[in-house]
Amino acid sequence: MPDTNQSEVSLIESAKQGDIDAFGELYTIHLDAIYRYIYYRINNAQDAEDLTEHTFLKAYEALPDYQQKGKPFSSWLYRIAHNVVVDYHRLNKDNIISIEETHDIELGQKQTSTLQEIVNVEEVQTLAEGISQLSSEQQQVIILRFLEGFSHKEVSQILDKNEGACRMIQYRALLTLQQILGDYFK
Amino acid sequence: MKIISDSIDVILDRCITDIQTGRKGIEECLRAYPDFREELTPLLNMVVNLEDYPRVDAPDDFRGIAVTRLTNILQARSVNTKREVGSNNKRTRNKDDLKRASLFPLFQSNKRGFSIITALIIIVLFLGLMMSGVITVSASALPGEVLYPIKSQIEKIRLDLSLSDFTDSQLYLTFASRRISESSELLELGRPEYIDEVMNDYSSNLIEVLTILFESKTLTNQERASLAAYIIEELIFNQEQINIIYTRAPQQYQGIIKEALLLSQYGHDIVVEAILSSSVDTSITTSAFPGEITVTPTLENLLLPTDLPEINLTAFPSEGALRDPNIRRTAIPGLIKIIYPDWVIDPSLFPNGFVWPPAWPTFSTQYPVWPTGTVIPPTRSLPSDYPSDMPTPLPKNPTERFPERTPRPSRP
Repeated sequence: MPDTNQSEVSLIESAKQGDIDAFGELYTIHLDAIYRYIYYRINNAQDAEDLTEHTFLKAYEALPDYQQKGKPFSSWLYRIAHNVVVDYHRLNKDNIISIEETHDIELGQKQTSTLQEIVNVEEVQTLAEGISQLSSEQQQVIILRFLEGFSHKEVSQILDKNEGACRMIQYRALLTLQQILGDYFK
Repeated sequence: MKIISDSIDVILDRCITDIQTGRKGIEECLRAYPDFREELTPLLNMVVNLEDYPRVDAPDDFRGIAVTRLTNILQARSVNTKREVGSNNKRTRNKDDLKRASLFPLFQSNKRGFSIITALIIIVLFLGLMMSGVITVSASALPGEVLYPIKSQIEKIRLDLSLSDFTDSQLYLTFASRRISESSELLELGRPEYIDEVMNDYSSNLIEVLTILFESKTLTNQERASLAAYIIEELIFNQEQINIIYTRAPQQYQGIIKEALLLSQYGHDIVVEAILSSSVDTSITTSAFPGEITVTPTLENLLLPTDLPEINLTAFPSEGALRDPNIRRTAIPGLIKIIYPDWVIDPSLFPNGFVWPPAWPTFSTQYPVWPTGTVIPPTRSLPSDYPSDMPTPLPKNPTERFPERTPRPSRP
């Protein structure tokens, strides 16, 4: 997880003063990461767009209270995104979305082969389906640690848990995911 | 083997970190922990698979408009917030002005000032009177009759027994209406000499009600709003009746009747003024998902029952909402405007005007929307049934209407 660099700090300060354009730049910087985090947690591309936007709207509202305290800005955004996802699940607990119902997703790496692209989309959707079956904490650890590449320390900051607890969540999450997706990976 | 006492989660994490940083491959890790090979193998393979997964990014069409949409929404909200702040200031100023302009001697309710024993005595007395039938008989008593003092005492007892300012206020309004009925009856019976006393009592009751409305610290917002609506309705009715009394009363009593009429009119006006000068709360909340717009005005935003508000919402649809054919899109990219000019309140829902409006609207959409907007109250207009044949036109400045009145002493 990259530290909040100086230019980002100044963008945050400007945004806190009400500079909407500065906040727009922060949005651009973190858009993909937050979208990806939400997508894997809800397994629905269309809703992930809406929730991404909602996350940033909430972030803007809460920005005056934001204090860096040595934590990266992104960890604060992830916490807001997590709350948005929790609200989403609470409101949609009866709305089970199957893989077939999910909308097409867009892959970051442009593929040369359409067939390869289809395969990749299927892989991502399968993974998202698998992740969506994990507990909320396990989902967060898997996404942040392996799909976003954050260190344990950084993940523990986002989850507001100690590193030991995060390690245990990671172990159980991988074990569960292995049981869900083990056959697919063989 | 390095630290055999480490638990599996610690060893797994150490291996993951080594693989992620490129210090070791899977096989090297497994060799370092042979006792855990079987358990670690699928998990480390899973980790490698996860990290090799194709990267998911936000779709291009979403990314293309995302920032513009967000900044549009934030700018609109910012404008709206400023508008709200402005109107809040206005509200405060108007309330202060109203308080300064008020000529009413606002005396505090001495409620809850009596002991439990006193209350018990009152209850016993009240029940005794009820059982003896005196209450029933005295209810129709008129000033100058033997039972009228009992009727007055019973009204005081009812006030003492009430446990809230809200109940008090309703009692005062009821008693005020009684005084008007009594005046009518007195005129019919050819006993106008008691009109002074009765009209004075009407005014005193009305002052108590208005005092509670504006000064009570215990009224809830809901109660205050209900009371405001009730006062308006009652006073319109009172004025019709007082007008008739005024025209039928001998000239020497018209002065006091006119004063009661003007007080009633003034009371009506300041309540209406307070309602209309209060800001309309434009706080519009949305649920996270699916979308829902709830217009939640403060209860002070209560409007005259005969008027209809216009709700003018500008909602920024989410991406999902943009695909909803039921939501109209304007020419402004990324914005929609929803106007509900035809929102009609069914008067039958609040026959007594007690709670108005019965509910503020909630607009549901299939997708989340991020709305901003305003609830536009109608321009001030008096109800169509407002008495038009007042003895004197209302002066613009309320302070010119009434000389300082001698307040009725507080209840013992």
